[in-house]
This record gives sequence, structure tokens and C-alpha cells, in this order.
Amino acid sequence: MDAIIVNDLRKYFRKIRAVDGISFTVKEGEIFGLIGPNGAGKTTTLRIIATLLKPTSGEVKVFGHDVVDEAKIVRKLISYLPEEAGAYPQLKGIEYLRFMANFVASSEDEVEEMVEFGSEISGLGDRLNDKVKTYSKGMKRRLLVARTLMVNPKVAIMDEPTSGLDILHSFHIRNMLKDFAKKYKTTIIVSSHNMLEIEYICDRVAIIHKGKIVAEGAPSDLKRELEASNLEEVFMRKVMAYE
Amino acid sequence: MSNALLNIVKKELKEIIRDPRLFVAMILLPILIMPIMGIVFQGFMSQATESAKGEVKIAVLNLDEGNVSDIIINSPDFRLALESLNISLIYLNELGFDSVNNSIDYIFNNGSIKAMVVLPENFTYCVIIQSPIKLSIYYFIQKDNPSAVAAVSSRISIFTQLLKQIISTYVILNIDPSANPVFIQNPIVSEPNTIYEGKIISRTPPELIIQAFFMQTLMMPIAVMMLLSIAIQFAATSIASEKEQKTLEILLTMPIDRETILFGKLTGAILVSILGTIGYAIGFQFYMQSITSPIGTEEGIQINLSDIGLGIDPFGFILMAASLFLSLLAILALVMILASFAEDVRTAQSLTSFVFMPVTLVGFIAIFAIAVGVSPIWMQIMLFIPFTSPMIAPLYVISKQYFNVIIGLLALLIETIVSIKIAAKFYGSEMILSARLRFRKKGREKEVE
Repeated sequence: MDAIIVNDLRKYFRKIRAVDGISFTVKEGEIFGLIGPNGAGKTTTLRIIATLLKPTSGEVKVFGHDVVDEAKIVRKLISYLPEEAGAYPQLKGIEYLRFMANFVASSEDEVEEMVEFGSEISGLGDRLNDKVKTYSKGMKRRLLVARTLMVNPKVAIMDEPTSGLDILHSFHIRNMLKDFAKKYKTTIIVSSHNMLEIEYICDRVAIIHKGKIVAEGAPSDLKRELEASNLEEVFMRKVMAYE
Repeated sequence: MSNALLNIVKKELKEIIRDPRLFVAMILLPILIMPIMGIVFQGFMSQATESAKGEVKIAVLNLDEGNVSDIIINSPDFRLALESLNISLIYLNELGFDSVNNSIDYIFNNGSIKAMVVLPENFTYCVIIQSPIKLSIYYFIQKDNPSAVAAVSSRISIFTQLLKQIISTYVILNIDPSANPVFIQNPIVSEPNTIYEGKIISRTPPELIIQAFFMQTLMMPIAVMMLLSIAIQFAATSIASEKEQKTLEILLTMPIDRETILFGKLTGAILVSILGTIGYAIGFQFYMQSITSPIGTEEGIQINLSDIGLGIDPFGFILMAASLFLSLLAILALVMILASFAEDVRTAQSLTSFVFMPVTLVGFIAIFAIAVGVSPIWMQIMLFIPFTSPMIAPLYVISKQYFNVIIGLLALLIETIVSIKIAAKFYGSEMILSARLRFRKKGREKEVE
């Protein structure tokens, strides 16, 4: 089944064409990567899927539900991690997870289950009892990734999940995502600048440039097609060819 | 000044001058506001000055059993002096009044007479034996024009001064050229009484009543203004900190209505404000107790201000609380929209100060209007404005004009519903995320990923 269908999606901010007629499909249980340079339209696309922005034209469906007309239903299916996300500094890590779980869970038991799961995913241990303001950037990101996944969403939307993190934290999060998707069959759509990361975790990718998709497919297929040694080379050739 | 220090000072000045938010808030607004306040105050002051310059009617009730008082008050010098000072005397005896109580009723209903001077039965006798004459003076205070008291009080002072001079001259010329200098220096002892809202407060100068009136009618609006300003800052910070801490996007993707987020934040701001209101109410209760407890006058006479209509009953309290609550809701809903245009707490506070400063100006004008007494139409208009309504409502409640307050509350209710609906629509749209004020067109376009 198709988890996400994006069809001829356009989003204009006055004269700026942030997204200019892109279409792609993400299958259930798939990890799909959106890669592209700054200003390519990745974040705008993810924000539209996350029901934060409305398309200028075109349609986006999540498990058959329109993100504009059925936004409330879509929000029950998704969990979104923005690139520059923060957590409430005065709350303890565990309190933050509980606060977020309360929006999704239908009972107190379910809240506690989610919090327990979130604690496990984060790997922060006893530090969850400290206030978020005492966390390092990496710890905060791990908490936010845990928050995104603890609700066991049908679709996780992750914008630059390892943005600004050191190797150790990035490694932890990458593995966490891959294991999670495999174990729970969660559909994940992820954007990143890091080609190696995308190549490592994604089943399929779309290269987006100036609001348009210039290539789409499995990393291995794209590499074979262009006789490239890695995804970074594929990316450069596709983007340069478009210029 | 060291180079480093100079460097920092230069940078600070550049930042202030180049940042349009700071420039507008710190320099432009005060430049604009001060002259506006000056013009408004000048208007009120000229109104007060006009009333001070205008004719003052003083009634005279002559109870003197002799004829000296007639000679004195009918003397051409006395009359000429009074005319030149724009004081006209109304002779109550000529109108058929011969008692203090009847005269008070007449003057209260007449409305145009501001004070009454009672010449005692022993006036002639006191002049002859050179004993101080006890002059009873009654001041009539009108609630809608309390500032007129000063004008009347000064005219009465001139009146008694003139009377002293005429009496002294009369005694030296007609009774005893070598009269007792103590009597000649001060032949009159005045006893002030105040008629406030038809009630006689004996041996109490009007200034004391006016002081209490001003304390009560001005302190409350100032307290309300402080409370509203705290609530506004709190609400603005609440939404701006979500943006600053980058927590808003996640919150907006939660499976909850946007209105829930708006009302959650409004409720939080209001709950904190209610805590403030409780503090205000407790403080106000103490204040009311102190102001309505008997006050001793100079002569040891005690008055109770609650007896003269300065008290507030439970229904009045409910109306005041409703006015405050609806105003809070209406203002905070709009503040929540405004603060959404800010990317951080500092900008939100700057933005709210843009709105809050003119609003404060209106508040100060309202307080000033209460002090000098403006036309009821302006007062009623202020009762319809969310910010000024809770400042003006206590004034109407004190004077038991509940109908005006209720009409004001109905207008306020409509305004509150409208502002909440606008805020809910705003929060339901993507503008909550993308809205931001741009002071400079160039170089600040939003980056799109």
C-alpha cells in the first residue's frame, strides 16, 4: 500500500517557487530520502506532508487521507521532527515525553507505555530526570527523535534528523531509525544533506533541486544508472546536469 | 574612554539606531505620544480653567437678628469687589428661605449654586462685642465635576477675606476706632460643611471628600492598568517562546485542534492573571476597608465614606470582575495574534509595546478624564473599549449606574467573541507559522529549504 502520495505539488511564497510540481510515492514500511541543496524545497515538502503548510496546488495523501481536507486524521498517522526543533527547557526530559504522549495516547497506561518506549529509544537513561536546558545538542536531538518515534507512528517525517550532531550521536540516531523501521514497519520520509547517511538508511531517494525532482529511485539503481561510486556523485551529476 | 569601551558604545548606538523596532519603541513613539498627551491634557486643563474663570453662584442665608449683616453685605464696596471677581450672590431670604435645611434642599435641586454661606443669628451682637463671628459654609460637590471644587473653594476664600475686611472697616469706622486688634485681624471663624450627593457631612472641608473620591476612582484604574500590562506581556511571551524555543512546529502537528492550543495558552495567561487579580482583589479589599472606615477630621468629627455612596456592593463587584475578565480575554486574544508575528520573546515584547504604548496613553487619558471629569458620552465610549472599560467600570459601579456598565459589558462581550474568532482563524491557518513582521524589505527574505 502507498503510505504517501505526492502529486504535482506546488507551493509558492509570493514570487518564490519553493516547490514546483513534484510527484513521488512512498510505500508502506519504506524509508524514503529527500536530498537536495539548500533552498531546494525539501523542508517545504515535508511541512506540507506534516499538515503545517497548505499547497498552492496539487495534492498530498497520507494513507489515502488528504493533508488539507483531512488534516486532523493525517495528524493521527504522522509524527514530525523539524530540522530546528527544540524542547521546553524548563521540563525534565521524561516530563517532555509525557507531555507529548498525552496528546496521542488514549489512556494513562498508554501514556506510560509510550514514555517507557521513548526512554528506551532515547538511550538517555537517568539524564531523562534532568531538565532539558541542561542537555547538550546531541542529547536534545536524541530526545526529540525518541519523541517522534515513541508514538509508533504510521509515518515518521524527519527533517535532517542528524543535523549538527557529532559522529557518535549521528551514528546512534541513524541506527535507531534503521532498526525502528525494520522492527515496526514504520514508513519514514527523511531529508538530509548527508549523502552517505541517506545511502545507508534509505530504500529509495528523490533528488530535489529548485523545487523539482531531478532523479528518483533506489540508491543502488541510481548509482548503476550513472555509473557512480556513491550517492554524492549521483547527486552532483544530476544537479549539475540540471543547471 | 578606552578604545574597547568606545567600540562597544559605538556598536550599541548603531544597533539602537539601526534596529527599527528599538528606534520606533524608544524614540519615535515617545516623540509622538508626548505631544498627543500634551494636547489632550491641554484640552482638559482649558476646560477646568474655563470653569474656574466662570461665574460662581454663592447663596447667602442671613439669620442675623440685628441689621449689621445687611449693611455689610449690601455695602457697595463689597458688591463691587464680588462682581469684579465674577461671584454672584443669591439672597435666600429674598426667595423666602429662613432655615438651613430648606435652603440645602433648594440649592441641591437647583444645581447651579456651588456654595452657601450662613450668617448666624448673633452676627450683629458679635460685631458689637467684638467677638469672632462663626460663619457656616456649605460646599455642594457634584460627582460629575469634582474638579470644580477647587474653583468654588478659592472663591469662598476670597469671599470670606472680603467679608473680614468690610467687617473690620465697619467696626473701626462705626463702632470703635480703637477696636481689639485681634478681632480686627480676624473677625470671622469659618466652619466648612460638605454636601456630597445630597448628604451633609458636617465640619468637613470638601477637599477631604474629593481626596477620598480621587483616591478611590484613580487607584483602581491604575491597578487595572498594571494587571492588564502584566497579562499582555505574559501572553506575548507564551507564544513567542514557543517560536524561540522551536517547539511550535511540533505542537502544531499534534492531533489536536489549533483552537485548543489557542485556548490552552489563553487559559494559562488568564489563570496567571487571575492570580494577579486575586492579589489585586485582596489588596483592594484592604484598601476599601481603610477608605470606608471612619476618618477623623481636624475637629475630631468622624465621617464614614461608605455612608455617602463611595462603597461597592456585591453586584457591583461582579460587574467589575466581568468587565475585567472580558477585557482580558479580548485583549489577550489579539495579543496572541500579534505575538505570533515575532520570532523570539524580545521581538514579541517590542511588538506588544507598539500596541501597549498607545493603549497606555488611552488609559492615562481615561484616568485624567476621571480626575477632571469629562462628558458622560466620553465616559460611556471608554466603557465600550476593552482596555479602558475595567478602568471606568468601577466609577459607574460606585455611583450605582449599573445600567451603563451592563451596556458596556454587552459591547465588550461582542468584541471579545470577535477577537477570539479572529485569533482562532489565525491559529487555524498556516500564518501562525509563517507570519513575521519585516521592517526591512531587502536582505530578510525567508529562506526556503
